[in-house]
Amino acid sequence: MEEYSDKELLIKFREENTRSYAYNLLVKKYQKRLYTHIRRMLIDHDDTNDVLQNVWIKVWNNLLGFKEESQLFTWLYRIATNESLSFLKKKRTRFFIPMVDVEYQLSKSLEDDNYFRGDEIQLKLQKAILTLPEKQRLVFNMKYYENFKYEDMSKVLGTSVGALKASYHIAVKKIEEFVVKN
Amino acid sequence: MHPRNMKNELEDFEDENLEKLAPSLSKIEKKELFAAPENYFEKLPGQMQDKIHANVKAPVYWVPNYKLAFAALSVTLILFSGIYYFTNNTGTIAEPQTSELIQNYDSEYLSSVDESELAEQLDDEVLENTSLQIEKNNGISNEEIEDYLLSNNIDLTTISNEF
Repeated sequence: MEEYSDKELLIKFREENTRSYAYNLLVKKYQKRLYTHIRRMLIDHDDTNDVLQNVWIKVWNNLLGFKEESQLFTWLYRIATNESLSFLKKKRTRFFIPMVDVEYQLSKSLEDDNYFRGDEIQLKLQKAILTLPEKQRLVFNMKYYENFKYEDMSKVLGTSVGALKASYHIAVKKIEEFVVKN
Repeated sequence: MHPRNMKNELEDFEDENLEKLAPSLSKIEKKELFAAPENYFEKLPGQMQDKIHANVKAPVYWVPNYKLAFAALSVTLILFSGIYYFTNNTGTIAEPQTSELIQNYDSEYLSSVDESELAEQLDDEVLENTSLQIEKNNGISNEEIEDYLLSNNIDLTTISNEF
């Protein structure tokens, strides 16, 4: 199947008679990347599925207003990131759970996750990542696993490139320390 | 570390430098760790089409709002205990106030009424009933009283002045 560029998909989406078709292609093009991005933050598949569906509904409702001041994929990642952080915040406040406990719960659910494909050392690395603060965790995942450029990350997270570099540097050091100690 | 050195290290820091900064981490194989259930990605685009065409609202992350429930429970308890308190204490508080009000009203009202006005208000029937009542209670009739007064030379005007 021919893969359309983001520009072409946007043109098709703006036409009413091809809107659904363009949307379908857009979901197919980005669903795996967004799923993985959200899943690394939320760990649980069902939570990820809820958030991802919400992201795609928001895309449907807001894509006509997208001004192309940024790239489409950074816009999509921005929605997915905000929805993931918002989900974690709701989970924390509604259950009176402190931040550390949420990360502990995520770490426990990782051990019981049937869809986790890693070995012992991979599990240890994921647990190390879960010790990081949320924003730092995002930065580490986006740079380490998804090979984001700092400039694109800056557009997604609304943080300066310098701050992102410092955050990634600190995250790497923390993870190295955790891996060595454990 | 000197801030300038730190800045240089951050500027240069990319994955190729990872081995120097984090040798243990750099040895861990990078691979996709999170799988989705079978056919998940085949089904999702169709599910999303169904949702947007059915105009279904975005899924709500429903988790019980314990904070709100606690606040609602507290307000309800305060409200009901307030109602209970005031309902059960109404008699003891209101009664003396009411009787005091009545007493004050009686004395104030009666002092403002002229005796002649009061007399006018009493009709014959009332007076007759009253005299009959006196007769009944004492067993003495009006005629007997008159006879007594006459036989003892007591002047009626003297009595009316004295009483």
